[in-house]
Amino acid sequence: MKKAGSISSGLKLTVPAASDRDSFTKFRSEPESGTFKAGDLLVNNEGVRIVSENEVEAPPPIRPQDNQLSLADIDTIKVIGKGNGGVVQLVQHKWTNQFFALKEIQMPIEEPIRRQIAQELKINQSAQCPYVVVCYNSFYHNGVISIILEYMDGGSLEDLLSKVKTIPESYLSAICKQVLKGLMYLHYAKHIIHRDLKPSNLLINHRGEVKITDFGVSVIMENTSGQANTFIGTYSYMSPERIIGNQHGYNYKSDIWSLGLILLKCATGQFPYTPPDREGWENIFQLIEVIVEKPSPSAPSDDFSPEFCSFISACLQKNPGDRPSARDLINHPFINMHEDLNVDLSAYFFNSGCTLATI
Amino acid sequence: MATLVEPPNRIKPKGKHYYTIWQTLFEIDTKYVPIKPIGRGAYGVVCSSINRETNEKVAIKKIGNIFENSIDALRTLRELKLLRHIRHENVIALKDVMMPIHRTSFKDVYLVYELMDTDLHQIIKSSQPLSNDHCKYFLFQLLRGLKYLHSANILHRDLKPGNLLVNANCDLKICDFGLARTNGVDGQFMTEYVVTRWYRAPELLLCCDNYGTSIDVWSVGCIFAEILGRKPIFPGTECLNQLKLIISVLGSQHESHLEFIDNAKARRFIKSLPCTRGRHFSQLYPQADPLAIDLLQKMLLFDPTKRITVLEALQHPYMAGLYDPRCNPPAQVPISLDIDEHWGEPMIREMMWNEMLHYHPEAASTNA
Repeated sequence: MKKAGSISSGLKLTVPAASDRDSFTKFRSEPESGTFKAGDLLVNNEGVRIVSENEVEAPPPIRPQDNQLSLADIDTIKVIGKGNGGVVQLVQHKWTNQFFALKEIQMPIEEPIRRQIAQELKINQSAQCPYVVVCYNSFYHNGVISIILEYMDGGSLEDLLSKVKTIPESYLSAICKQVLKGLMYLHYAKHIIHRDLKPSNLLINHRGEVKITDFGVSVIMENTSGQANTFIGTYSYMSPERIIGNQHGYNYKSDIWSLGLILLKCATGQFPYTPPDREGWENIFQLIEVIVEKPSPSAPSDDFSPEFCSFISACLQKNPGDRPSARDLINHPFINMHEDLNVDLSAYFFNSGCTLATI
Repeated sequence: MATLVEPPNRIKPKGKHYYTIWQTLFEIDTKYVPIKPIGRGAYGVVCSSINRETNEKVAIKKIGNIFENSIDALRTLRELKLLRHIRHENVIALKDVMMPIHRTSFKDVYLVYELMDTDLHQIIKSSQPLSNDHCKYFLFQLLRGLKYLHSANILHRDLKPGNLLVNANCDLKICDFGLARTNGVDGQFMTEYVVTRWYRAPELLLCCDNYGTSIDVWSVGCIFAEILGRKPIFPGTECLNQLKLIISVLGSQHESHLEFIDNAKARRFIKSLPCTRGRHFSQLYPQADPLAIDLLQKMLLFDPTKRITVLEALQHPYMAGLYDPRCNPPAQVPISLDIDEHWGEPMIREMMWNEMLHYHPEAASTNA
C-alpha cells in the first residue's frame, strides 16, 4: 500500500469514457475461452467490468469468499427487475468496477429468522457451482434485506421466451443440461429444494450460461406472513404432491416436476395447463384441481422427438416415487442426443435479441 | 438521528422545513420537529415528532412516490377517508395530513398520527411476561374497537399483531386501514389485494364471494392465540398450506360446516385433505384460563356462520368485569367509501387533495 506522501500532485484518476460503455453492447464471447477482452472490456466468471488499458495494475476482481463487499462501496445504475417481493438493481462496485445485481426485499423479520435466512444465503458463498447464481453477500438493515448477486446480463428464460415464443429442442437440451447440473448441486451437495423453479428464476448470460437463482428467497417468503406472489403464479409450477400433501410430503422430486413444466412451456410457447374457458382461471382451486386430478400434460408426439416426449413424461409423473432424480435425468437420451451438433447457446441468446448489458 | 438539512434547490417554501431521517428526506410543516425514526414499513418511513403548538408527541409517516403504485395510492386514500370519520379510543387517530406545496405535482404524502410506544407484535416476541389480565385487557380493547368499526359497517380485513399499537400502560389501538372496506355495499366489488396470510379467515382462503365481519373475528382469534402461545398459531407458508394448518388444528370438518363454501372446487379441495381429529386448544395452551380457551374455540370456528360475533365475544364470561354495553355507543352513521379501484392518478390525486382540505380548510382558497 502506497504512503500518502508518495502520491504525486500531478497524478489524476481517469474515468472511462462513455464510448467504452457503448461498445459494451457489441461484445460477444469466444465460445472456447473463459475470458473475453474487447478494447477496455474484460469479462470473466467474476463479473463484467471496465478496465482501462493504461492501468498498470487493475484491482483484482472480488470473489465471493472475500467477504469484501459492502453496500457503501456500490453505485446504483438502474432497476433491472421486480419480482418475488423485491426490486433488483444493476450495481457497480466503485473500486473494481465489477457489476452485480442487488436484490432488495422490504421485510421486517425477527432476529432468529433473520439469522436463519442469512445462514441460508451464506451457504451459497461457501462453494460455487457454475450452474447457480452466486450470492456474494447479504445484509439486513432497517427492515430491508439486501442480497448482492452475480449479474446475469441476458435476463431470465422468461425474458427470452417473450422474444422467441418457443425454443427449439436442440437449444432446450443444452439449457436443460445446465439446469440439471444446477439441481444436482442444490439437491446433492447442498441438500436444498428450490421450491420455486420457474422461467423467471433461470437466468442466462452472453456466454450461453444458464443459472438457477432465487432459491434462498423462497425461505424468506415462507417465513413471513405476507404474500408477495400473485395468487395463481404461486401454484403454477408447484408439484401435485406439494399441493395436496402435508408440509413434509415432498422432496427434491418437486423441483423435477417444475422443470418438466418449464421445458414444456419453452417448447410449446404456452404454459401446459390452460383454463377451461377463455376468461382465465376462476380461482386457485380450479387450477390445482387440474394439476392434481387430471392426467399430466405431455409433449405432442407429432411435434417433438420421442426423446423429448419421453423426458417430459418422466419429469411429469404424478407420483414422485416414479419421477426420476436430477442425477437420473442427466443421462437421459434427450440430454445427449444433440451433443454432436455443438449447440451454441451464446450465439442463440445473442441472436434472439436478449438484452445484453446496456448502460 | 433526525438531521435538519437545507431544502432541495435551496428554495425554502413558507411553512416547511426539511429533515433527513434514515436517508429519507422529510418535508414537513414547521410546527413539527422530528425526534427520531421509529419504523419503516412496506409503505414508508415513520418518525416520532413533537407538535410545537401543542407540545404533543406524534408519529409522522412519509409515503414517498405514492402514485408510482396505484395499489399503494388507493390504500392511502382509503385510510384517509376512513380515519377522518373514526373517533374511538381503540382506533388510531389521524390528527393531520400535511398539505403539499403543489397540488398538481405532489408525489409524497405525510400523515400525522398519535404516537404509541410499540405494537403487539413486538410485545409478543419480547420476553415481557403477559398475565391473564394482560391477555384479557388486550383482547377486550381489540374487540371494543372492532365493535365500533363493525357498527359503522367497516371491515378491517388486515388485523394482525403488527397493526395493533400499544402504550406502556397497555392501551391498545387498531391501525392500518389500507385494506379496510365497507361491508355489504352493493356493486362495490374490490379486488383482493395482498392480505397478510397467517391471519386470513378460511372463507377468504377458499375464495368465497360473500364474506362479512366474521373475517375480522377469525383474525382476532389468531391474534388471541398468539398472545397466549407467544407465536403464530397458523404460520402457513402459502395459502394451501395455510388451509392445511388450520384443518390440522381444528380437525376435519363435517359436511354441514362446509356449506358456506360456494365454490365447488374449493369444497372438494377441503374434503380431499387427509382426515384428522385436530388438537384441542387446551392442549396447545395448557396454562390458559379455561374461559379463554372457550372463547378462542368459538372465535376460530371454520364455518363463519357459526363463528362468534364481536358483540357475543364481548358478552362472553371471559370478558366479565370489563365490558359495559352502556359505555360503548356505536358509530354515529355508517361510513361509505366511494372509491373506484380503477381510478387513475389524476382522480386519486384530486381525491387526496380534497381529503387534506378537511385538515387544512385555510388552503381551499389557494391556487396551488
